[in-house]
Amino acid sequence: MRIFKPVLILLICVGWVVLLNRPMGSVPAIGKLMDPLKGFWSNAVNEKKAVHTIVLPQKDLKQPVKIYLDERLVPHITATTDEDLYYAQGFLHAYYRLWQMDMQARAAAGRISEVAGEKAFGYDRNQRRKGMVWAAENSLKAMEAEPHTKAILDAYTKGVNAFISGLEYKDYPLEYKLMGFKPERWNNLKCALLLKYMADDLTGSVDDIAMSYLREKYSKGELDYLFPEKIAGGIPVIPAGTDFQSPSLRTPPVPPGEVFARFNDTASSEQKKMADLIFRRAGESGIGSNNWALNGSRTVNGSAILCNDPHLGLNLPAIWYEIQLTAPGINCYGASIPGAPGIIIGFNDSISWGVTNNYRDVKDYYEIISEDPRFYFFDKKEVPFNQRVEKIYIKGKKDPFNDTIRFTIHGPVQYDHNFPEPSGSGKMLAMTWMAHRGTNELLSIYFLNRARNYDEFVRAIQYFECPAQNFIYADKLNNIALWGQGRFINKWKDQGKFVMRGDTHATLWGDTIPMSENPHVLNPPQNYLVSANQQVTDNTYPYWYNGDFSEFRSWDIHYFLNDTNKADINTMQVLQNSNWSYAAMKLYPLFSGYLSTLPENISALFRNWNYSLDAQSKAAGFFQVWSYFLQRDIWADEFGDSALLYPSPEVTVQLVTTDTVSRFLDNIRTPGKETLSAVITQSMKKAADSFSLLEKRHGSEWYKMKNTTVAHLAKIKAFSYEGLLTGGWGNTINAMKQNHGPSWRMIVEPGNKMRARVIYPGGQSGNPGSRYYADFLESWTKGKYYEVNFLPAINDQQ
Amino acid sequence: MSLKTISVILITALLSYVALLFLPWWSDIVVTFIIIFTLPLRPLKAFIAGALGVGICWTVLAFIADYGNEHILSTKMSALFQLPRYWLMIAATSLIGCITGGLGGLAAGILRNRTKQPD
Repeated sequence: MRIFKPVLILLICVGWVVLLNRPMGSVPAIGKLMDPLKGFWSNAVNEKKAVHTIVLPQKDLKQPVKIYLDERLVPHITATTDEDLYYAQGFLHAYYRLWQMDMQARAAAGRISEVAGEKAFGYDRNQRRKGMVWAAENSLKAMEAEPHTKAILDAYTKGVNAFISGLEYKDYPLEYKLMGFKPERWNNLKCALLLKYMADDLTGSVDDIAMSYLREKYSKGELDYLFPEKIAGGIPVIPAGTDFQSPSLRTPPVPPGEVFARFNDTASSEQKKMADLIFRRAGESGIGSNNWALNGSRTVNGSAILCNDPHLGLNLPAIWYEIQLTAPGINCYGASIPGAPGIIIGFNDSISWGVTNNYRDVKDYYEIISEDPRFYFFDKKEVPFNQRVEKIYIKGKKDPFNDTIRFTIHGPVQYDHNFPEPSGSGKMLAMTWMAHRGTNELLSIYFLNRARNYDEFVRAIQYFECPAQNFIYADKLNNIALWGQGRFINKWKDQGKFVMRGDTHATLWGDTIPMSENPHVLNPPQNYLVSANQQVTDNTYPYWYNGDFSEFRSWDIHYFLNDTNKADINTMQVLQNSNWSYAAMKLYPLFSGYLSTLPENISALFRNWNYSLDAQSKAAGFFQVWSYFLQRDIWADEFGDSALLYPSPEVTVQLVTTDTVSRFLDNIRTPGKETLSAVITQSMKKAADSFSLLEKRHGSEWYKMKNTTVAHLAKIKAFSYEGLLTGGWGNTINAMKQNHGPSWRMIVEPGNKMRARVIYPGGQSGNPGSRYYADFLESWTKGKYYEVNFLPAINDQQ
Repeated sequence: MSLKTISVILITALLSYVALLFLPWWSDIVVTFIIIFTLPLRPLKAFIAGALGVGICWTVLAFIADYGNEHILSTKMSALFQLPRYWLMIAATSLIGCITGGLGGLAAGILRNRTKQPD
């Protein structure tokens, strides 16, 4: 046995190498990861080096490009051609955020399974069925047909790829090493995918299916009462009294006969449970935003002030990357999206702008009737589907999953027997969605970044079609303006509010409304403007629309701005961080009448409560728990325990404060007849029980209950931040929820000199091994800002 | 410890670093094997010399990276691996380096033992 030992030791050596050189389940290849030169240690940035510099590959540049990285790592790029400018932006985005760009483009395209395996398959398939890739291809055609956007996309992509091509394994962002895949070449389609990802985030969830079920259950009058198109007392985005020009299109009449699909409640209880889950998730989306502007008559300095804080998913690396772009014809500063050229929200030498989601409904479902899988019925004829095969590759599997997606005149079939509609209706549903169209929002961004006055601003946003946004504007000349901007259809009343019949031309989308007739206002007599996802217009707007609007933050903001005559950057900063709740103020008189029914330790919390949902406030904690139970107790009997689509909180507050004898207050599950008083007593008791339990377990301060978390995109806990000390909620100006919140707070004062303060939850670097990974987070949590270092334009730099 | 063993350790530390610059992490097992096959040691000594040589290399590199980084990444990575202290990531790196070098050394020691009696 002389050779036994040598063979054994060689086998052990080989075994050791093999074992540590391959991933096991979710554990990455440990040997590669721990390699002290090329593994994760090479992502540990040397923070002792004081100066950060980026060197662009000189061979690709037309002229020298200057990149100054300031102390927060914000790049100020100065170039002499557009091509060099966007090349540099692409290079920088990739330098700091490559993995994020890659993953988000994959998420848009339904390509997560390729790198994360089977667990992402359902998500990927849904993305494909929503037509995300098709939509991005359509927009790419539009963007590449236009010379400006073609040029900036090409330059940007070239910049990203210049960075990628210089990478070896040791240079890969850490997440590639942990997940065991490598960067792939960038292309213009990925930019298009990212823009569609935003469109999906902002216009993708609609209530058509839930509303179709409710339509079977409630009369038209009841539905209008429970789900009003416009909330009573709402203060619209475009102030009441604004003149709308007379419409160039006639509002089409409602087609005769049945135009909606029937959703009879035949689903099994198992399916219904699914449906409840789906709807509950949709209801929790929590995406919203605030923007407002005041002109000089309401400010200390006499110059306009513009504020914006879009509320999006709170993730690391953050959705935004701060940047200044300077070249002949452009000197612009603001928030860019890693993966797309240009600046989405910001300001330049002359103007500033911001956005909130507009929420008009631009996505409708159609029921498709089909007997033969190759055909569907349309106007009593059988029409062939168009087909598109989507290949979904899954990590660890050789062959892709092929999903054949069928296209109708309405759009792609999202749900059929292969991919059942989640509420269990068993229906085949296709969708028509504005995001499917080949639009060129990038051209808007291009012109917006260069706009010097109101007319150029208006010209720029005309190309912004989907996702529709409320564009707020303020300039150096003290003008303020607001546009509910997007591409909209001239709909007949209720078109698309419910799932429509797909077998008739009568329900097809009609003409688009001319852009110039979109709701807008310039310099209103009230001297300030506000949008916060509320209804866009009052009833004098000539076209019909519906949407998923919410009013509370609009009421909050108006409550303060209405009396504001001495605004400055500091007071606006305080306002953006306000946790004061209009809803609480409205409900409190009712609530306080029952305080005596609560244990002393709870009722004592409400002495001198100021209706603010502050982080450390236990009163806020209790009040929020109570509002939750109040809402449930009123609606659960009618709508189901796990909340099939409850009427909005606005409707609930109005119900209990103004319609105190409403029949919906009665619990239809009990033989007796409950009154408002019974509902409140009951919800108080439940809230007190839950509150006491929470107090024992985690603490009852509002921030502990809420647990605001900024999570790493791959849900890696070690790279995330939990339990942040934040107040606020979706219905306060500081719209800080559990995993959504103010993703970019910006205040701009376009006076003689452009002055601005900004902050976002994250940091400029996407690398968890950098001190710039989440260095803004603490200040953001505390409501602090950074003064922007806005460098002068090229002509002034000599 | 003999001067020879110390020399072997130092040579191993140096050459395993050079190998890491150009080759995958497991090249260090080969490097150690070649060094100790050329400068033979008894199996136990061979194991220790290999382990210390590569271990020193990996530890020093990890330490330098961590020091410059002010423990930012090692803190996060240790949380990811559910280790309570940042320096345990350096320790884990050292351990893997040690085993890698040790195995290479031991293999060389044993194989060499069969062909020619070392010192």
